Amino acid sequence: MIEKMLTEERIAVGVECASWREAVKASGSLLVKAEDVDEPFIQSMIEVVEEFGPYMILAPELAFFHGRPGKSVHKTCLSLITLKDTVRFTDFNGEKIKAAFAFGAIDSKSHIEALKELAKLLQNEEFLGLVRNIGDKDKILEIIKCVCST
Amino acid sequence: MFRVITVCGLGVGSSLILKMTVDTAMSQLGVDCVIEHWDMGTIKGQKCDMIVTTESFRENFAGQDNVVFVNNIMDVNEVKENISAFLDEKS
Repeated sequence: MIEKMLTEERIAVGVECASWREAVKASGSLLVKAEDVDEPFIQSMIEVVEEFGPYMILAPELAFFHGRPGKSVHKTCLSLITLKDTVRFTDFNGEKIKAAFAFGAIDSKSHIEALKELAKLLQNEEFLGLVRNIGDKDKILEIIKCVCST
Repeated sequence: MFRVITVCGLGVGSSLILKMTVDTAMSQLGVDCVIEHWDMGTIKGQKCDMIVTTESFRENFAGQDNVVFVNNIMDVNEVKENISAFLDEKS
């Protein structure tokens, strides 16, 4: 399922971001470009971090940005960026990330299967190694396909 | 039935992933339960036996004694250990 969401055009590697806000924008803009979400969704993802802090760091150095379901989300969607340099949440406790997902949901339930697959992906050490170290995009795609078919 | 609620900021992503982890942890611990996922906005006033959430929300639950905090919502072992300690304390 997520191999259909996390497609080639929704993954960018080695992105230059100077702050976590830029990382949200960079990962979110992939979803805007793919017409999965409208621009205001990016702001919604930023507001979640501002309001609650970076609790969405799911695996070490890997963030899972998401916003409120609403009319700016057209379908359940996911993008991934890997970062050229480590980005720190300097306005919080200096938590650091090397990669980030952006995730859009249309409600609070319909994406449970997608998240199950994502959880599997986040337990795959090869995948984590690749996204933390600006790994090759084709290899990342290959692992996504592999993990999702098992 | 033992009722568990997992909580995150929006009740959309992290709480759902945490729900899966708690589900695995509880079945490994052999505790029958129902698990729901909620967001910070709607959790107030919800009755349940145990809330599981992340360390970042500790302040929001000040004064409540039915909350288990975890650092890594993907880590079944950490979640299991923390729940187990909570259950021991309660029994």
